[in-house]
Amino acid sequence: MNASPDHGERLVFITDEHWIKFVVPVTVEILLFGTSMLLFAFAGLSAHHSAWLSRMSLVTAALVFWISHHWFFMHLLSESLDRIIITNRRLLRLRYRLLFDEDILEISFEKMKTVDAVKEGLLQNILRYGTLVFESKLAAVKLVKHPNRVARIIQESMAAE
Amino acid sequence: MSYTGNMALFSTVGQATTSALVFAVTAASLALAVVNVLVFRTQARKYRELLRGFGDENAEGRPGRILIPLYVASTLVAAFVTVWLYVADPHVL
Repeated sequence: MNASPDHGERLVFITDEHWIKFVVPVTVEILLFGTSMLLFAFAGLSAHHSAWLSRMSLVTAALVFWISHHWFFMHLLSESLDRIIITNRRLLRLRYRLLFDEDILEISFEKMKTVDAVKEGLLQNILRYGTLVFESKLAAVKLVKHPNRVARIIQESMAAE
Repeated sequence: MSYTGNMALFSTVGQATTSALVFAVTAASLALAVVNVLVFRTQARKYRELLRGFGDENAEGRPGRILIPLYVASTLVAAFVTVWLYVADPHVL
């Protein structure tokens, strides 16, 4: 996957994925944070009534809080590195997951000659994001911002080569 | 709100176990934050090298320039508050 500017490859366009991908993690984090705060409050309220219940609640609250806190920020940091890179010869979709996964999708314009921009449903059309589909679903890149514009850039790069 | 400072953190088996768990979880969280920041910076560096390979050094700024300080600060604050609430036992409720 080495870049080859000496062989005429150059960067044409770079973008990140649509912000809609953050909605679910933020919602889950809010729910888990609220749960941990309720458990902390319960630990405090039950301290004089039942020591073991209070301790259990405290430890559970701490575990829920810390797990959700780290999961949330690991998710945000991972998503912040995701990029879609278009050169004059290929498209690269970079996806990193801290400590767990690294995925690089490479679509060469020598092998893929057609690209479609697809926006399905009300949400994608209102928020202007969608999927780039290559060669009738042989490869697809999701969560692309302004997919029609990106598809046009790719088509121009394909035609130029 | 009164501060009665519960310093008998290891007075009973149950109390000692709870104390150990709270301190261990807090310490593990701080360590995990350090590891995550180091891993993120390594991957961000690889990403910048990839862009330099295409001949464009200015294509992207510093990823995580807001997230990392926010992550570290929130982890430190949460660790301090957790330990303080547990050790000082200020009877806030």
